[in-house]
Amino acid sequence: MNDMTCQDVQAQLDLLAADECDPVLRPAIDAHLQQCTACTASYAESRRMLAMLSLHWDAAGPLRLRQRLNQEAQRSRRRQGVLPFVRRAMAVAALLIVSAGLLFVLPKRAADTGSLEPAPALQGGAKGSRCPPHEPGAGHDNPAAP
Amino acid sequence: MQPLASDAELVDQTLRGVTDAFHQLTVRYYRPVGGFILKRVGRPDLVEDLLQETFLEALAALKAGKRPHAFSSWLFGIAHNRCGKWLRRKHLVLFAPQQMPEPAVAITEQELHDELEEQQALMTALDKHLQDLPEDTRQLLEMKHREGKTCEQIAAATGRPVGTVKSLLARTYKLLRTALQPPPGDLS
Repeated sequence: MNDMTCQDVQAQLDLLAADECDPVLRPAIDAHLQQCTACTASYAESRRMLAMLSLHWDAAGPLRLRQRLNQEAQRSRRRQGVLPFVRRAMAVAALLIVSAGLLFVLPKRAADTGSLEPAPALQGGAKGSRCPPHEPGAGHDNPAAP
Repeated sequence: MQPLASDAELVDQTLRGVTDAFHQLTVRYYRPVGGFILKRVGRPDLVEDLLQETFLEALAALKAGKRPHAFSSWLFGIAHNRCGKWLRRKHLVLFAPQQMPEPAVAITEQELHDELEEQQALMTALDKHLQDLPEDTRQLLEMKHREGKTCEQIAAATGRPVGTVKSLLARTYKLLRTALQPPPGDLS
């Protein structure tokens, strides 16, 4: 049953905003607020006034803000200190990966091309080729080889 | 007694890397900007987060070399944008239609300056009314809002019945609310 008048409700709004409202009255006040725009507006005003009181006495607020600013400054300094190192490390890692990939892929490709038909560029000593055509049984370039 | 440094002096010092200068600015504007944010978003639980974001953004801009023409209006402008961002992010659906906060619209420097003056006047009026309260009533409010005690805890600490504490609290809130209301005809 919701038989509270606006006057009854408005007398309780400040205590409701301060979380000190009588729990017995609470359901009736909530029901009234759901259907009364004037009391809802008054309730918003009460909440704002109480929040201003809390803000007024919140001496720790600026200190918490200062802590947050210091934390952000430290984080920013750490980021600035670490980022160039990370970039350099990433570049070296990328270079190593590419080098390892080339070392792994190139000998395999050379072996594959050696077992199949020779590449056309190697066959007849194409113009501009630096390598002489391979002569079977012609021995190795290295004179020390058997 | 050393005179208070002006905003411009503190901004200059912040630009030169004096971190304590910016802290002085935060102490000076913490409450007015908090009141402004509270008015914009209508949610006491959000005020501290938005306040911190506002000051962080201001400090970052100063560190990047920004030199505001008028620090206070500029700071209120940042707070206004922060509130606007928050309201857009939440799509306003969290609010009951009656509790709908003011929509964030473009705001001129003059309006920001007026907002600053309004908040400072409100805070000054609050200070004055609190000082005019009887000592025991002010202590009661301090226990409630500074120390975060419940009426039961206050009753136990002061040796008064809980009902008396609640009645006194309700009367004081009503008194303050009436005293802080804008005069009739002032619709701002």
